[in-house]
Amino acid sequence: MSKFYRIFLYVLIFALQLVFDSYINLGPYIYLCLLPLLILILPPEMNVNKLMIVSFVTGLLLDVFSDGVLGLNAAACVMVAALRHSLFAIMVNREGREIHYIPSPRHTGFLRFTAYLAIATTVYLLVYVLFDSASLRPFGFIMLKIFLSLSVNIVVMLIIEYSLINRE
Amino acid sequence: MRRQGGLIKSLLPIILFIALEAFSIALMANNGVIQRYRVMRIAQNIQSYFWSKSSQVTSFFSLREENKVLLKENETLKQELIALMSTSPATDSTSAEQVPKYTLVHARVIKNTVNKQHNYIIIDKGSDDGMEEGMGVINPTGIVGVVNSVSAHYSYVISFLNSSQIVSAMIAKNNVFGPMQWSGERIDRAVLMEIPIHTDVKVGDTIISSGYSIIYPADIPLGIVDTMTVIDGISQEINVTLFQNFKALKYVDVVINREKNEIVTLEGNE
Repeated sequence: MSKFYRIFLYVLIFALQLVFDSYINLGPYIYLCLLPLLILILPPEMNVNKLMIVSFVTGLLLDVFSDGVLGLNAAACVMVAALRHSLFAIMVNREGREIHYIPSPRHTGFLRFTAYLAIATTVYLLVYVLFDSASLRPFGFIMLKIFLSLSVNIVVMLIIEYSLINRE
Repeated sequence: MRRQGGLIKSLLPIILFIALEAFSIALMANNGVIQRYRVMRIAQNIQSYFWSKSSQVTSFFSLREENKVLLKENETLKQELIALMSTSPATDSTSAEQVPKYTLVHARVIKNTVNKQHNYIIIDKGSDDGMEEGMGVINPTGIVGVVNSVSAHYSYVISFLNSSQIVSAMIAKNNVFGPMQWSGERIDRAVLMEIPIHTDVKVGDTIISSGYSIIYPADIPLGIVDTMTVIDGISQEINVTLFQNFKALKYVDVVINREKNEIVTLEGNE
């Protein structure tokens, strides 16, 4: 994947997230979030410090231009960024080989890639929903929101993965 | 020395992680205050400009629906006027003219979120039109929210569909009041809390604003009683079905309370 195409993807996914936030309403139980996917496709050679800073800025930009609560997406993004290398090692690169590629269904297989995506999205949603609703909403509401959001987001992210990222 | 350098290098991600998370949490905790800062106003201005353009397009396509709403509103107002004319005593021409306590400024909604736990609205009136932080926003079908920050031409309103918003409401038939808050699950549901258990309340009773605040006038119809739940054997929580349709919000009225400063000064003297 060329550097130019990566930047294009970053901007496109961010813009899509803004459109989702502003125009698409699937009710209080579903939060559409593409930022976990965006963090996962950031350059693999980026070290964890840079990754956390870039993710924090991305989340904060989304908070400023889209959401009402500053810091909500930023906190969730930092958490995913902090865990990306460990997740990659456990889910994608179990053999511990020296590889530098953005994981995709073509490289890792559909199931392993979906699991990698699902764990990253769950981490993101856990932070987002807990900070947004904890102590204000019942436990059942929080769990149902995480589960439903995760299901919808996985489908949306896989569509984006197959149509935009995994096409080369 | 080298070992120290290695230690710092290995600790750096942890320190950075804690710092970024702590900063995010601090931002969340002070969200209401930060929205008023200049940097946020600039961001809101950019947002508002784009939203204003896109809402002009969407408004064009919903004109038929808006006309229907306006006709209905007009009809209700006519009926209220007729009722008032028939019941009010003859006006004494010598009495001093009464200045209304509240005045309303009509505004168009250019952005409205309903799918989050902290929803907000942007309206096309700002400080140039007399908007100030803390003003209430209503429409004929209920309350909408509170102005949180203003720029020259736009205002950022914290919607009633926000877990931080609490409104003083009461049961219309017996004036028993309590705090009312959005339930968080459906946009047409709210919960009226701290109602004494012995209060006579039935399904279908009307809930109105109490007027016990400087934000909203009294007697604004808010919704009807749906169900009641006893809490800890001493009070009851009333689930209210709201009249307000937040999804169809197009126009709102910002409430200017002429006596606000006087009340605030009085409260400050206590």
